[in-house]
Amino acid sequence: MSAHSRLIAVFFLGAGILLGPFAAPARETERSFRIQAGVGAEVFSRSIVWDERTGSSILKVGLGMIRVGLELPGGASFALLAGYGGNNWNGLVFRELPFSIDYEAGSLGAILLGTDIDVPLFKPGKWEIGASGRFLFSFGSSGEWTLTGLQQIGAFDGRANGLMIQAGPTLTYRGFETFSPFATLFYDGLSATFTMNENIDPLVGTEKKKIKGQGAVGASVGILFEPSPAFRLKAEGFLVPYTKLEGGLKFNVGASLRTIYLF
Amino acid sequence: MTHRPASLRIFVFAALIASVLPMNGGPVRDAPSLSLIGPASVRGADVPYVPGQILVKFKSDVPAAYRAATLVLNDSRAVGWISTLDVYTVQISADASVEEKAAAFAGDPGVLFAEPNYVCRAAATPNDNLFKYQYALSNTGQRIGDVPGSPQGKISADIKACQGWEESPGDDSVTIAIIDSGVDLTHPDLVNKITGPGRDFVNDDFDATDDFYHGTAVAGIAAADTNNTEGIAGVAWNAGILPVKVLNADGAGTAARVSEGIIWAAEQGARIINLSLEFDAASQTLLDAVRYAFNRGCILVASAGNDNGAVKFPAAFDAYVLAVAATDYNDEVWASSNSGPEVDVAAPGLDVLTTVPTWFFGGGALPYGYVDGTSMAAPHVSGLAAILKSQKPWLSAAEIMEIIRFSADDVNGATSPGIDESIGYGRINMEKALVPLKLERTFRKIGPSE
Repeated sequence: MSAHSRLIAVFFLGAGILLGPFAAPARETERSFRIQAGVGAEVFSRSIVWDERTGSSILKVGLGMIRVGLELPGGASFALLAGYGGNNWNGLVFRELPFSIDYEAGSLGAILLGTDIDVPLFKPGKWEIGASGRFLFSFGSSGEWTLTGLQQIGAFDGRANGLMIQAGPTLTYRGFETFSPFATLFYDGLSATFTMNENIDPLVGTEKKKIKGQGAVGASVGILFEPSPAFRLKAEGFLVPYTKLEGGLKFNVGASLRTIYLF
Repeated sequence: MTHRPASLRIFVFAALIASVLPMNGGPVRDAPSLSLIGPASVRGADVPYVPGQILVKFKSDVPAAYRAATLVLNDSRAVGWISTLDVYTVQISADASVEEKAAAFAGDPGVLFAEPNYVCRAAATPNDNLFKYQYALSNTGQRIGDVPGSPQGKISADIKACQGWEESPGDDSVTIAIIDSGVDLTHPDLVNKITGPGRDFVNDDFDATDDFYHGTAVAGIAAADTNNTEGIAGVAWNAGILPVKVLNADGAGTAARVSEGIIWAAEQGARIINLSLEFDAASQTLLDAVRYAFNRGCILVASAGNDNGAVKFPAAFDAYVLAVAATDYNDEVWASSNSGPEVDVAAPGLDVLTTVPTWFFGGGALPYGYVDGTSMAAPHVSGLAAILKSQKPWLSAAEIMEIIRFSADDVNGATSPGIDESIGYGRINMEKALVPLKLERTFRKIGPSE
């Protein structure tokens, strides 16, 4: 399921990049490149699994990003993202340390770097079919904690790095003057490594935990407001279904808000 | 070497409880009630509850003054209130019976219900039918023994076994060597756990049958067959038992035999070596044997001694052996437990219910009895060490020993805070040793320091 979804997403994205400039007639053919700049904020949660799917928890993320990019004739765009986020890893359990640890220390900051790609492919009538993708690297800052309650005080430090990939087709209705509702279906990939160091003198240990997101395909709906040719506001809500380890379907949700200025 | 056997009070335990046990039906003498604290209302006679406390809910329209008056009239006082449920935790007078007082409250027209404050257990409670008597593993405030006048334990004065088992009861990859008087190889609660006939260094053969009682008692505490609906629960549910007989029928042995036993056990692959025996003097041979086993990755656990003196050997071989003192059912230091800087931890050692040889009581009685001594404290620690080793096989013996030390509860902290010579780091705590510890945000004080 996961590999299949990934293949479809890559297909759409690749097709978009290759065919976009040819397939989609430019909305503003008189202009060539336009520079994009903007800010955005996003909150979402993801069910994550580790230790060969023997453990799971919910990762909660809040992030803010700035974006700078180019919009090509025809509407395809490419942007670089940079920002800062807080990743709440509560519920992550480290059982390979001398003393097993249940992480409940809340959010860890992370510097975010990535790219955003949007490519319109076809425009049948007032509809627009395209592809979009996002690659986001997260470089976590180190956290330090003290553990009391044992006969020896414990010192811990940890850091998490990760990669998030979203890619898939988009469907946008362009029939309104100043706003365009849209929906997307996307492959949702999340992988991370959380390194935790334990020091309860003389006991020391390090555990690197490989983490993966659960749920390979998500969907979103949103609205793109375009009150002027130079400004856009994009609001989007996400839904990523996943299967709980003990069975049963659940959903991760998220939302984002972006402003985009075009020059 | 003189082995000082822990006192074994021959409760004719079997006779008292034979009526509920499916084993060896022997002659049954007068059997008092089996209830732990007293008969409970609906769930049968053995549901534990907090002594001296009941839960009371008044009807919603009963005014506060009426409630207060009802409490006073019943010689009781409220010590807690669950506001959402409007239920009071009521302390009754010391001489009152929980059942009678609950009935008295329930008969009041302003009271919706009154019930005992039942004691819960963690989900990982084994179904062994004598488990309820094992205060050392789960102390619910039950009476220690079933004869009139038996002492009553303090709730939670135990090694938190149920909570630890929630994380792991251990597996069969780890074997505990019982270097002792042998083990009853046919005991119904041990037979499936014994890895083989063992080694007998007393008679120089390969039949470590126990002709004393001590090794069988130690083996049961460490790793009796658990969750098998009968008998007692062992600390390490699934660990194997390797019987090594070095003490004769009088409980005596020599440094040579004990050393041979330790080396043999280590070479057989035992990861845990329990030494519930004691020498007054430090034998170099014994030290060399202990060091040999330690260097092969064995975790050695020994009893501190039972004469209120200095820590005996091999427990006093500090670098290689976990020395175990004894506490009681109130988490107080057992009066006869030896002390000294070598003591690492403590575990319950007074009135510990365990296995005894099937021939011990005779007459078809059940092969279980209450035994005292640091000899009985040590196998609790051996059981914990076995679970830790099966849970994290990559840890060294020294690391597991540190985990056991650091996770202990300083139960005498009020009088001897920190590490002390009576119980070392404290009474072992399986929950802290096994269950993932919550790592929470560290808040630092902001502002001028004092």
